[in-house]
Amino acid sequence: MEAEEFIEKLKELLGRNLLEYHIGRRNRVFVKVKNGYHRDVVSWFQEMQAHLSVISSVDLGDELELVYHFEIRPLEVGLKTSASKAKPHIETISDIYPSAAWYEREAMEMMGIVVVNHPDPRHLFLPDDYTEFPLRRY
Amino acid sequence: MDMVVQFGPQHLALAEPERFKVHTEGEKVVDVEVAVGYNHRGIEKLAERKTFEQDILLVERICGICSMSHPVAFTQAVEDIAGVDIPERANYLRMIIAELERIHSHLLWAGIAAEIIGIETLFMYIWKDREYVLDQLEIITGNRNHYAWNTIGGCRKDITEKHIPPLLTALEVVERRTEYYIDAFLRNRTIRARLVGTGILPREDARKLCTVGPTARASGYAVDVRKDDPHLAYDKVDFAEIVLGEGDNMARAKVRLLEILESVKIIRQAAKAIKGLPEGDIAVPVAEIPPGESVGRYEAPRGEVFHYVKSNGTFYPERVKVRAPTYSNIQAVPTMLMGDTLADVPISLASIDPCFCCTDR
Repeated sequence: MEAEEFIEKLKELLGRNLLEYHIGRRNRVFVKVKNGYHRDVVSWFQEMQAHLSVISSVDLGDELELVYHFEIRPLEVGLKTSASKAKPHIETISDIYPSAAWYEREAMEMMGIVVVNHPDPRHLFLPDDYTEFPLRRY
Repeated sequence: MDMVVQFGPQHLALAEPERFKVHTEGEKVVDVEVAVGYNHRGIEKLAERKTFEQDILLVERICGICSMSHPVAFTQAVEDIAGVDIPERANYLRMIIAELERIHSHLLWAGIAAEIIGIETLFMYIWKDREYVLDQLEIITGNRNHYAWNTIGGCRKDITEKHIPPLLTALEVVERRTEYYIDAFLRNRTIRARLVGTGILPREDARKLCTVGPTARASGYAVDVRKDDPHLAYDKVDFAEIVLGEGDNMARAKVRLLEILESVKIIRQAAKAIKGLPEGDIAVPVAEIPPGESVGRYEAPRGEVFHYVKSNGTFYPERVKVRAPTYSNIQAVPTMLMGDTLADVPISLASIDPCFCCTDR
């Protein structure tokens, strides 16, 4: 699938809930969707048997963002969604992609994002009694 | 009766600290819990406090074996943000060092596997032959590991005419010896008894758990960044993607050993190709990194290395996310071990070629 075709299909699926998109060099595509609608997109990716590389968490200042990196050959898609720092709740995708569970655990302990309905919200890398979020910047 | 056996954090079969809690019924494994984090060094946070140039050297030190893979992934992401195309020769130079790294990493793995199986002579043989590759790396880059080969915009050193003949001679030795080891792994009764039919990872599980590298390819799940997302000069050389279907420990051993032969092929073609490219044209200057974000991927010996870099226009990156291949593959370990006997746990663990430093960062 070409990048433009991918964006068109995403627009059909989401309409106004597709907030922004950017097509970069070497088939890198970044799309941002409204919080909550990322699950619809991930389900669509799952039907296409996309490969989940990793989930990154980013501190934007007022908001915390998750970037789901999928490989949909030949595209490398970064699917973003964000929530306010006061209430950083983002729903899990680990029921769709089992391997997402570990990446979400890392985002929870490092960035303090609350992943809703996570099956196993323990710390992954940090000690169990560690209460700070080391990767927050602002 | 259910019994719990702790593998690690310090265990004879594990070179690095990580903990596996294996639940058994008699000799049979019924459940496995994985606990990581014993090696966490906060490298992602540290990367935000260093400049892009310093970060290349930092990510190089995430892993002692994949010390080419991390910088390649990182620099590609930064070059994408800066909108820079590196010279053709630099692509080939990076590819030659990266493939030499793949050969020595796969030989290292084969040696460790032989030691875990209990054949220490084979372990000594293989590691002796690995020295041929490390010697070449030392002659070309100045170091056996941590080559400091990359910079943003290209490479820091060149491979000259005088490097090529000894490199090709070493490759000939490695190729001949690898063929011997393939024969040894396929025919030796002890090795077959330990590897065939143990640690099976079915294709469907490999796909669902998003495994990468030789672990995925041994289960018939064809993922190889070199083919799927062509970069460096991989689209200009001819090599085969080794995909097998069995999904057991033997298949993972075979994939790695056969990949050594493919890497030899790639380096030979690259050594020929750089003769036609102007010597010294190895880097382009990059003045500034504008705000932006990109993703760098590279097929390390263990699978896909993934770097997400976000820049805010200063000398320091806003965010660097590193995903090493073992982070993906280790989640498949419980599936592999389930139903096997306790004695097969060390070799099945080793069969994903785990690197816990990479995983924990």
